[in-house]
Amino acid sequence: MSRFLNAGLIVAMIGGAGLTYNSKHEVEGASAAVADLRVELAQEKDALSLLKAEWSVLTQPARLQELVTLYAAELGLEPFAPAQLVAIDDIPIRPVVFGPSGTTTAMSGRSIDSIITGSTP
Amino acid sequence: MTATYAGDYHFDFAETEAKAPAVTGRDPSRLRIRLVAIGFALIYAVICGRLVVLGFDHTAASWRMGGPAAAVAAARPDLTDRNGEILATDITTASLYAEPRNIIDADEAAEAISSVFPDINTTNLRHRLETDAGFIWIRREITAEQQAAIHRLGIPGVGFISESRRFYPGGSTASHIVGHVNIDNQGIAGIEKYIDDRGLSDLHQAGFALGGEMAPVALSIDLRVQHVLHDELAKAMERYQAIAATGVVLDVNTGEVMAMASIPDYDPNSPAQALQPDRLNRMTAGVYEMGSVMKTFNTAMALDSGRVSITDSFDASRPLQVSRYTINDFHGKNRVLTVPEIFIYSSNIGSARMALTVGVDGQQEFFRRMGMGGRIGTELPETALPLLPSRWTDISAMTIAFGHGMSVTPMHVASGAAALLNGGMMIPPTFMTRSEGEAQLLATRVVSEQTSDMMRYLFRLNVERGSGRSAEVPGYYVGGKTGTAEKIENGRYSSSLRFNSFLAAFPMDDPQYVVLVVLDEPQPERPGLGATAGSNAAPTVASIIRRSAPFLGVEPQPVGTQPGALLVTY
Repeated sequence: MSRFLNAGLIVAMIGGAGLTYNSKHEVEGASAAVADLRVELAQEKDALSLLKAEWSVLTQPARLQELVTLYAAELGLEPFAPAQLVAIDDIPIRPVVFGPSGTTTAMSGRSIDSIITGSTP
Repeated sequence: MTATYAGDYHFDFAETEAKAPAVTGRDPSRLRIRLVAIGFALIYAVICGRLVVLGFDHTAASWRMGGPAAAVAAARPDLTDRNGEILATDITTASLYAEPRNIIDADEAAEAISSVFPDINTTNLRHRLETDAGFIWIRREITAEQQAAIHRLGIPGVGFISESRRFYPGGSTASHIVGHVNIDNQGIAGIEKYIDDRGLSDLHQAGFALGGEMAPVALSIDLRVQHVLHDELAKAMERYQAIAATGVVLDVNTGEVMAMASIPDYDPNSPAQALQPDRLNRMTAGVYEMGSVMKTFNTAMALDSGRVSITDSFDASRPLQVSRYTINDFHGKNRVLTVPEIFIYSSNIGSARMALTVGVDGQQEFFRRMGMGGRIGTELPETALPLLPSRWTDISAMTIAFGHGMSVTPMHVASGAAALLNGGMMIPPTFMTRSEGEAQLLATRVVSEQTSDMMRYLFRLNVERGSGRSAEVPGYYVGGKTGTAEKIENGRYSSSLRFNSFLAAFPMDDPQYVVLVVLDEPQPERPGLGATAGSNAAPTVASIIRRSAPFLGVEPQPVGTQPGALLVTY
């Protein structure tokens, strides 16, 4: 009886040692991976702050103004006048214009009523 | 342990098991085994307990703190504008150091290093590398390419330390607000210094503040408005050949500074320029005799005292003689003027008479109430003390009425004007974001609402009919007051050196922002034209308002002959 117990204990001990070794090995691997990830994270953070700084340099109002002045003629850019600024509610509904053949240019083939009220015939 | 077993050499488990029923338990070897077993059990229990303790312990990570990198890599929070645009950020750069003790051939090392840095002094470097020192800096904050080049050279005894370096993407755009840091990343000017004074440097001393998790500090300024102000001031300085220009855009209801610039300025990325004496922040750190813009305060003082009403008139038909001084008008009308006329024609005589009606004590008390008795209370460390007359006589009272004989910073004028126009509440200006609720807690009443209403009316009147006509921007109801002060040259007021300013607010039906622009010694745009504030400072203010109002969220009122009519094209 005690022979079996001893044998069992020895097996359990060897098994335990094996498990311990295995998990220690795993932990070492995992902590190495964590260290790698930490380094990578720090590098990414640095890269991120560098990119943010670059973005902010590229979107500086002073730089944009320079570009706008440079391409103003080509792109037809002009500063807007205060009179061009209105609230969206103040803009009237687009009026319907009749084309030469009696059709409306806004939506041909439908009556004015359907365009304004949305009713369908 | 082995000794114990040696004594029980003949002992056999199997035999004991077999005889078990017959034994009484008095067997001494059994007792020993139990003792040993208990001993082992105790040891294992201790080990297990210790394991559990270690498992719950998190101090294992503490090795990351401190170390040599902590001495230099002082992280700072990002500075952003009110919309989160970056004004200042940390970027990681490498710094090159050497350990001369470990350098084998100093000559070769010095040659190799100078091949990467052609501007380095090779002889000097060789001498430093020949010493027995443990550590020397070769070059701080090098670029990635330089780092790679040094790395490829493979010189023994040199290495890199990563340092975080402060970077200001906007360059000089907001230099006087954000300030700058020294090579060790300590704030030495502007908001950078303010942050340090508020406890960041203590964190660095203690070795914290290493992680990049510090929340960004949001400033009150709007980068777009700041750019507009900076750009327009630079243009004005060039067009009118002024020696300096400064301006501010201030929210009248919260005291937030939306933009502030003072030109000539400097690039905080190379802060050595900041030491040049003409680069000071004129808005908060320079005191000036502001001239006629101070009539704003004189008029408000007279109206608020109750001794002068808006319908009163004062005689400005001839120069005012007081002992050996003569007070005269620049644009003399030579007649009796009403209070609004004194304001829009900027009459010195009328203003002096109004000040005398209030009296010396009343005037002194009023200017102190407007915050002009001391430094401007704000976050910027660079502030100046106003220069008040040492003996406040009737003469002082009369000259102060039109802005001479008392020097204040332009920021005093802007924040005082905000109080006069926002309904009479004085709110200290701030460079940090602040809500209207927070502002109300700080506000103190300085003039009555009626006085504030009358000041709004006078400001608008001066742009519609007075000296500020060129500040008008259709749709925004600009109001303002011009100031053309003569500068003192060789002890007397010079008629050719001017200090021009325009103090404006918009929209005058419900003032939201105060805009103040000051030009130092502007020249006429073309020979023969005038160089008064109405011809240079006022149009500058108009351009600033025209360009920045959409960013500030001020809706323009429809303009045109038919009110409410809208021109639409599809």
